[in-house]
Amino acid sequence: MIWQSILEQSRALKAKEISSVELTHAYLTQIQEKNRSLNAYLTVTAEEAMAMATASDDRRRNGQSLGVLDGIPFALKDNLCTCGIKTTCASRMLSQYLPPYHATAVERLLSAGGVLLGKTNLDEFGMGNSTECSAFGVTKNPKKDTCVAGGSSGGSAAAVAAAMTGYALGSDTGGSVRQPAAFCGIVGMKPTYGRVSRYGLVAFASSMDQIGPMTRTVEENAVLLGAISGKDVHDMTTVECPTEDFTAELRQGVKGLKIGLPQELFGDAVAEEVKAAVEGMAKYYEAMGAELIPLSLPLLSQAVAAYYVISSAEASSNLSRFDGVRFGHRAEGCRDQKELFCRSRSEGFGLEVKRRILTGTFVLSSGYYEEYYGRALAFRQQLRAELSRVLERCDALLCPTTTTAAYGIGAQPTDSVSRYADDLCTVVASLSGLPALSLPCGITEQGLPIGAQLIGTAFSEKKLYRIGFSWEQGGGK
Amino acid sequence: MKAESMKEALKRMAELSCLALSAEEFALLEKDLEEILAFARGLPMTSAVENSCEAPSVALSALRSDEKEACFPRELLLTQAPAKDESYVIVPVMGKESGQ
Repeated sequence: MIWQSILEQSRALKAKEISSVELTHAYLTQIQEKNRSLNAYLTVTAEEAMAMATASDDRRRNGQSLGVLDGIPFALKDNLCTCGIKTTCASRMLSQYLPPYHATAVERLLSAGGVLLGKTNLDEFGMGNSTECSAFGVTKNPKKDTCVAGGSSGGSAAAVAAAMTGYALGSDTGGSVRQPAAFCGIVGMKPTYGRVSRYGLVAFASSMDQIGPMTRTVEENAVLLGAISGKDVHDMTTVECPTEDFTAELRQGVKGLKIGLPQELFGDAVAEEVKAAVEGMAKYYEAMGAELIPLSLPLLSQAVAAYYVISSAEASSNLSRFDGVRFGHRAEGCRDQKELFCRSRSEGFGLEVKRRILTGTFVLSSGYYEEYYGRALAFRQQLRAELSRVLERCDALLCPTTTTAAYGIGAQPTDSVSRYADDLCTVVASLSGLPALSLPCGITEQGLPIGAQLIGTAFSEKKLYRIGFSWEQGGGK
Repeated sequence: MKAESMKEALKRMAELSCLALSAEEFALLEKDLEEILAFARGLPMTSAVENSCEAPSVALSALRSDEKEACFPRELLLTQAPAKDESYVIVPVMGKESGQ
């Protein structure tokens, strides 16, 4: 039953074929069997999960079920605050941190009757794309355990792919939901900026951070986005949208839709196997009645540089709150406050986090601000304008999610710039705040999943799900 | 940027960021920062950008009216403080090392 979709599980719960306690127990057993080797979970909340499952069964027995997610187990990336449950951000800095509140997205899932199984691994504070930057070890890819699961939401992706949870939430700043989803062969959505509240998400780069659902199928993903999205008074960037049923148009097919293919994301930087798989998906859409529109986005080649300047600048500001005073790691035996700040931060942060803080401080500092940060902001505006123009001509863009399939653990290039270049396909939607859906579109010769990405206009998630669902039910089946 | 000035810049950034870098970290990050900044200098210099981005066609309510809300209880927040007494977070004395 752990491999069933959450919709099938919900139906079985409703029909009393299974109980939430049985389902939760089955997932906890799977976690016990798999987590030692995969390292997907940092914290397993077995006791709390069984209590939530019991409460769900009681509600169902009394005819008070809370809906489709009631009694379904889920996992959370460990940068989402959970009241009284450790939220470490995979950092020594927060290794013992117990938040006093739930993130809004978490609160919404719990209010819908969800059963929290635990917290999953990530690159420290979300900075990285392989979980190799976690202070608590790398998460292995369930499809091939010598490979990374991707990142930064690698723990969530691996947990979903290995049926160690029904679904999971991740967070995406520069591709952190979509890239691990592609590497592990699951579905991941980065919603439009403003669609989902970030209250309780430990901030990395606030102008791009978004929380997104990670699932095994498109339909489940659409259900979950409906559950977590909407206005929140605690996050002023959330947008007042009418309540949407993201599953409403799933079965409408793609006939008559226009799908753009940005040529820059089918170039030499992308592996042949990846290109071929995404092109195969495009051909399927054409056969189903969609119109393919090859197009060019010349600015794409510089998007990664802009992303790293802006995200590092915001990270340097956001992470200044970790100073060893009110919460988090504090260095022992400091004589004054300056020493306390410096030593606490130096001991608490890993190398990649320090690298981003220093880069961010540099690009924001007097004398360099305009040359780097100002230039990146201007570029971002140009890129947004270019994307707006392109998306006037088509319903969505189709491109690879990643340049390659999952790579070996420890096999990433040692220089930062080459590592950052891996984010070529994902940062475009991040910089522009647009929604982007990653879904499996093929398998390499080595048996590793390949992901394709659909990017749409702001608040067009429903259409992206529709296009993704068509592939999942047809070509991708 | 010359190697010497990058060294100086990194020292200043570490100071501003409240990070004490080991010699090994310093050497690694000096090289990294140089590469990252060279990469970033590849961005086009744009003086004026036409504002062609449109705000989403839904009501933004960033400026909501003020509402009085209870904050987290002091005791709850103090549970996470690394050093505390009954009512306060304890921190070392400011500027003690320089005798201020």
